[in-house]
Amino acid sequence: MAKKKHATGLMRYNRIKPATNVLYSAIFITLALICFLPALLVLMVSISSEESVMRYGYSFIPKEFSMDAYTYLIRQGNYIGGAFFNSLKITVIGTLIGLTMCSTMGYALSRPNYRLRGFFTWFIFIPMLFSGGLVASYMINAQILGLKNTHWALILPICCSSFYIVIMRTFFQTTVPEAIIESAKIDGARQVRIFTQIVLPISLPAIATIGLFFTFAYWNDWMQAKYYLDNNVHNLFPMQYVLISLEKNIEFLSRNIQNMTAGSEVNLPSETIRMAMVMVAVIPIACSYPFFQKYFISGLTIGAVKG
Amino acid sequence: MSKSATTTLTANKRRNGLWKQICRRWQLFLFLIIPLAWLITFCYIPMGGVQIAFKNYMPKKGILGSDWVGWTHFLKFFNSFYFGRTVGNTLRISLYSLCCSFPLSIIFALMMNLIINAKFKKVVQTLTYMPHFISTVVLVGMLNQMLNPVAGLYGNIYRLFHPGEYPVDILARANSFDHLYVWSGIWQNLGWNTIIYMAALSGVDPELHEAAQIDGASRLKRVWYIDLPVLLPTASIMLIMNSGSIMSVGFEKAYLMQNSVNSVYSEVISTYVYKTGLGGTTNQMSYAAAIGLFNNVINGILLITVNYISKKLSGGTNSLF
Repeated sequence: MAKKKHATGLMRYNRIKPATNVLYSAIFITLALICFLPALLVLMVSISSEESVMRYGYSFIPKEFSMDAYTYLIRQGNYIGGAFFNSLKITVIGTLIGLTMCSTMGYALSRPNYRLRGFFTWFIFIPMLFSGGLVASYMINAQILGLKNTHWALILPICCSSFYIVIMRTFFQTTVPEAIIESAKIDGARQVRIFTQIVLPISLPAIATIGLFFTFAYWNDWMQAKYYLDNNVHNLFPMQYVLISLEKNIEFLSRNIQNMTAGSEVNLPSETIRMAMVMVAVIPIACSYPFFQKYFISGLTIGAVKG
Repeated sequence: MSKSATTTLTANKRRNGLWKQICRRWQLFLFLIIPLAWLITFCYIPMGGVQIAFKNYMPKKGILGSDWVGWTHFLKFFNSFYFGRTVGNTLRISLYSLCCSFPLSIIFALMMNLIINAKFKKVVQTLTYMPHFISTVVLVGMLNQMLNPVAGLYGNIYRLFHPGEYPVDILARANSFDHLYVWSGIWQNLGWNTIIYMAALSGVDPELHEAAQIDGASRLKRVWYIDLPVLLPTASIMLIMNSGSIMSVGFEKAYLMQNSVNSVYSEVISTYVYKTGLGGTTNQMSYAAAIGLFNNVINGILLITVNYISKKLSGGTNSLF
């Protein structure tokens, strides 16, 4: 109630003239459209027929609808479906490992008064300032740990980060009341029980935020695949990596075709299939985004601002 | 003698105390074991691997067994033709990007704070945050398709005004790389960058606005004298964090946007390290490691310097550490 009154108080003093308001709204509608329209265009091209895209170019309202691109992708199930499931597997396993590590470490660091706490804090802080760099990491991971050409190479090197541990620690410190933990201790709960049954449920915003970051980082990642997978292990490729090779091939072809036949009717290969691939890569993200959005703003700002 | 006996005693006591604490709170320390093992394996051991920058790495001899060569690889890089090009490109692109995106996100947050209708604000926020989650691969792909002079949106719009003609291929012009890189980055991250500023703005005390209004301050004046100072601490922290990466332009996007035409403008340090170290046929790992180390050290120095300056200017409040 008090909070509501507070909000209306602020609103009252943020009031501006109607003319200015219209101008602002126009600016923001434009900005929002700029962010949204490219995605819509990709969707529309992917459900157009190949022929209409050839003839009229990209358009927001498809001249002829067709699901050919998607049926083609389904028929290519072995390659593209396999890549899709590789990505899914990497994302799920990586996010679970990452969340476990960041939340346990963050929790342990958020506990007050025990020896080595200061040391551990420095221990996670130093990698934020200095890293071994690409070459040294590559040599350790590929040659000593033997991760080359395995899915672990795509998961392990990025499954934790000092930055996320710090966000988690700050979140636990600021939002989990010390009194709850003390009372649980008095009732005889051990640390593992306190962590899983008390701390985790009330820290849902932070968990969701970091989980979202991990999900997107793994789903969108292709660099690890570029570093650690050889060109011939097609069955290990994640989605984004397949997308790149497709993009590169088509880009090369279309540029050459344009040079050969400038001005004439150009036969670009599989525009719609390319767009359909993009949609397949984007859809899991688009679906999970609203689910997480409720949490990530509070999770991120509490964890980061007060750090 | 008695003094040394006491010191051994306290040392023993301390060791005992530590051991006792580990025994007593073993569950807490259990939480730490796996993350610590990860940090050691994937952060600290590679830091030790940096020594190959000072060695002539031979796969046969291994990291520890290769011969020391001192600063040879660094001098080779400083004297090479690529030193000026990669460092120059990196600095140009990241400064251009910082100068545009940093003030723009503050302005955008201040403007977003003025929206009255809560629902409209929510929709704008949701839509402008969205591009942040699109992968670099998809972003670069979309950029290529939109700007394609034949089939893309740009080609289509151009032909509306000049029927039957084909526009200049923007993607094939070398000097357009900077603008494409920076502005596509702004498109992707502008909304996302405002989150943290919006959080700071929501904490403004309404009494400040009330008092200012009674004193006759206009809305614009209040933005300038109330909202902006509130953002200053957050903004300086963001600036410190950004300055720590001035010498690193992200590998992902630069690499994907590179083509044979724009390589004069688009070869940055991170892509050059990749190409010399891992991507080429002759893997000069030590040389690449030296370039990477040089880059890291400059970044670290920049971060610490800007942090120090900010700490001094603000009297100790606006700093990262």
